Amino acid sequence: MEFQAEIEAQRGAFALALRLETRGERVGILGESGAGKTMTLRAIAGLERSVRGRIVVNGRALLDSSRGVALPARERRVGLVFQSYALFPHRTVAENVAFGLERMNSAERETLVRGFLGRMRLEDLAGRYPRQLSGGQQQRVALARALVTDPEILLLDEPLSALDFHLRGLVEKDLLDTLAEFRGVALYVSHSLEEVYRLCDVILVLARGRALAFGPKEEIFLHPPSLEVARLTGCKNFSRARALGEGVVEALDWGARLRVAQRHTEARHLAIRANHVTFADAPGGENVLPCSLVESTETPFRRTLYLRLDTAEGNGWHLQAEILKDRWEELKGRPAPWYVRLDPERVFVMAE
Amino acid sequence: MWFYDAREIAHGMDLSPIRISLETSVAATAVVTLAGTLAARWRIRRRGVVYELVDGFFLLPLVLPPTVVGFLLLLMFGRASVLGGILYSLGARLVFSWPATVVAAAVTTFPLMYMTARAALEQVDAPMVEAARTLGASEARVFREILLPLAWPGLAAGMVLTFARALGDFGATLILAGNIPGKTQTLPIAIFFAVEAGDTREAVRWSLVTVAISLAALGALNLWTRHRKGLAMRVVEQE
Amino acid sequence: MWNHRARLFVSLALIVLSPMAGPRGLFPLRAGTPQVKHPQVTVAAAISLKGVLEGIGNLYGRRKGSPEVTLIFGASGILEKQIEQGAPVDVFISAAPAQMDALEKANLLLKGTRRDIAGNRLVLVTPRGATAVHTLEDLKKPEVRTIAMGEPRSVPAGQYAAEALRTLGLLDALQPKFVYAQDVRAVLTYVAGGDADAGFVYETDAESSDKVTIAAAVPAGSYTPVVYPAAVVHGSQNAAAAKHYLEYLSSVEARAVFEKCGFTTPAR
Repeated sequence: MEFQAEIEAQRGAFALALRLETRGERVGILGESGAGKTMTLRAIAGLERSVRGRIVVNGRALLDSSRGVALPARERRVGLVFQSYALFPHRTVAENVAFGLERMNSAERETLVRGFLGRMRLEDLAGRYPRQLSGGQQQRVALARALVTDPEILLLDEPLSALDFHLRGLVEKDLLDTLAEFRGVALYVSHSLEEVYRLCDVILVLARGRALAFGPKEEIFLHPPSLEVARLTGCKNFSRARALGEGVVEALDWGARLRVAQRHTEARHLAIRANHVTFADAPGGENVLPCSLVESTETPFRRTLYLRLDTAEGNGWHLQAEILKDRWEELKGRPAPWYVRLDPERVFVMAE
Repeated sequence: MWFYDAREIAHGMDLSPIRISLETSVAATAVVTLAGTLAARWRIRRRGVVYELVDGFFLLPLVLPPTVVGFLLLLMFGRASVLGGILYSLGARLVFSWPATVVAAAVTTFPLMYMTARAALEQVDAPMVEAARTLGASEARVFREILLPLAWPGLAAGMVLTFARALGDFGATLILAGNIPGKTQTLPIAIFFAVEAGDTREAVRWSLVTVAISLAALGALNLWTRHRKGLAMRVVEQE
Repeated sequence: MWNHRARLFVSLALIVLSPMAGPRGLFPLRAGTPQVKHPQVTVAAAISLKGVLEGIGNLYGRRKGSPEVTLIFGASGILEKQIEQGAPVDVFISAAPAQMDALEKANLLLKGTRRDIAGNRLVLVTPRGATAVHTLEDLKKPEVRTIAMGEPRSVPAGQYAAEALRTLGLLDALQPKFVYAQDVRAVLTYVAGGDADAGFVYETDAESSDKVTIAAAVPAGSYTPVVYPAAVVHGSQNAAAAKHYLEYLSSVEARAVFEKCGFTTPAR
């Protein structure tokens, strides 16, 4: 399973340019709204008008501008699950799923469709119409419809974002199972970091039509190459920095000198994730900084603390820390000042 | 008045304008539905200034007074023209024939169907069309199985509009097909000449018939729309 | 209450609708309103008189003290109906006696002003260069597929043509070939274009077009002679001016113009 894409596309003032290579991994495409994620999928599927470059799947060229090859969507063997599912409202679930199997003889088609409906737990709904289904059911139908044609590439455009929150967990689990079985290349577009991290192996970070990073998810999350990638992967704490040599970096916005484990040549910025900020019991340790609590907010499961560093300039807060609720119970009674610890292993050093 | 009319009808009054109008309107509606839908489908897949000029051309009969349309058709198909001369030498006579009533009605109603069909096709959700394409459907299949069924309510409304307008066409029909009782004299033409001749009763009679036919067509559309909604509701209730 | 928008709307509406109230709007001539300006005469005439009356109008206008003449042309039948409904016309010139008779019977004519001012002849025309038709009998030939004429109930020329054909015993045989037009001009257009193989028009119309040739004259005895009666309409606010105009139509100058256009003029 081999997939290479090197494409440039234009839509009005927006220009997309990226390259992507994978061997059957699940690729997550992460980025904010308007970054070009959907456009990327559409370009690969053959739905986007002005695309130049090369797209090759298992040696078969879907697009090759240098040779004038540009296959229409129907010949690309691509399965696309739209954000809105795009189920045909005037066809039943079974008819929707069978749509791409026109060329099969009807007996085979029926068996195949029934099998798929069974695997996706849709067999009781075969005769229903899309408007009679719940969001999760519609999503499964859309997935079945895309997969039943045995595509070489599966493209999923924010498959969970249309669902009610409480359904997402269940549907995500289903999706994970389905993706595990799928033998082709899967591209999963989302603006949710958690989804992408859980469901994919490799991540492409997209912003303003350009790829900012591409690699295994651990790499991207643990060693974001740039400030923007760090931000896009959910990092909340940043400081301008200056390398001082010997694994020590000065954090200018935090007013501190920190030891960092990450090997680096340049150090322009430092960053650390909110959930990696820990609290020390006493001052004086390595990377331990005095601070006080400015504000805190809570989610059902966590608490976010907004901390002001004594060593830093300016009022307001400098660091965000995310802790579990029981940790909060322990901390909240403590007298000021508190001490945060920035684990050297967790501090990102970025050259830009 | 009604009493005398009924007796006249019983005595075999010339009802040909009704027959001619119905035949003409049905034929024109059939032709225009096909042509208008195909033209709309052709147009929506293309972008660019050239195609916007094509729109202007398609919509021309709507903007011009019907008499001008008829006159232009006469110029195109009359014996004195190139096209007409060719037809004439082949033994075909379009001017003053029944087919001319269909041509006149079709040309004047084409813009209506074209615009309605375009709107109906364009309001079909783009992702649905695209999904069909990624699933391997040819453009013809996409049109047949996705666009047409989903655009159908709009297209049906267009057909009714077309029928009603074709029924009422006067200026273009008169010039191209002429007033030949029993052959090309449609209801509007009969009404006009009845008024000219001062025969108010006849004019009123034909007018009422025209109104009745139009109401019947609109009523049929309403019934059908409600029937479809009823079907949809029943499906929803099953959930 | 009267915010800016409302005031703007009302002002615009008033401006747009104001012509409705004036003399050219809904209430043109109220009975008894004296006309203080230069005398005007509104003449409603059959469409076949368009060219000749316009020519005469020019000559008339050059004479000192002539009233201002407004010419309205239309089918005689429609004009008759409009006058019956009170249209503000001073002089009516019809293409046949029937319409004038109807108005006379309804007492809508100023007594003593009716007179015939011209006459015309009915002819059979064919497209220029066509050779198949030389007599009315030739119309029965199969090469003649369409014969155009005015609708007999509303167009006097068509009425005369039908009458002539009935007298000559050709009506039934030729009936299936007829196309009825709403006026004589349309008949000319059909024949000139070649879409009708023959048509019945007035001699004056035939002479006005070089795309048709006169194939035959319709025998004089087979139809009621075509005369153009003219009269002042009863209740006209410009009776004196109207009579002056009518007089002029019988003058030597005017008769010359009629004859030049192909009309006949009544003996003095």
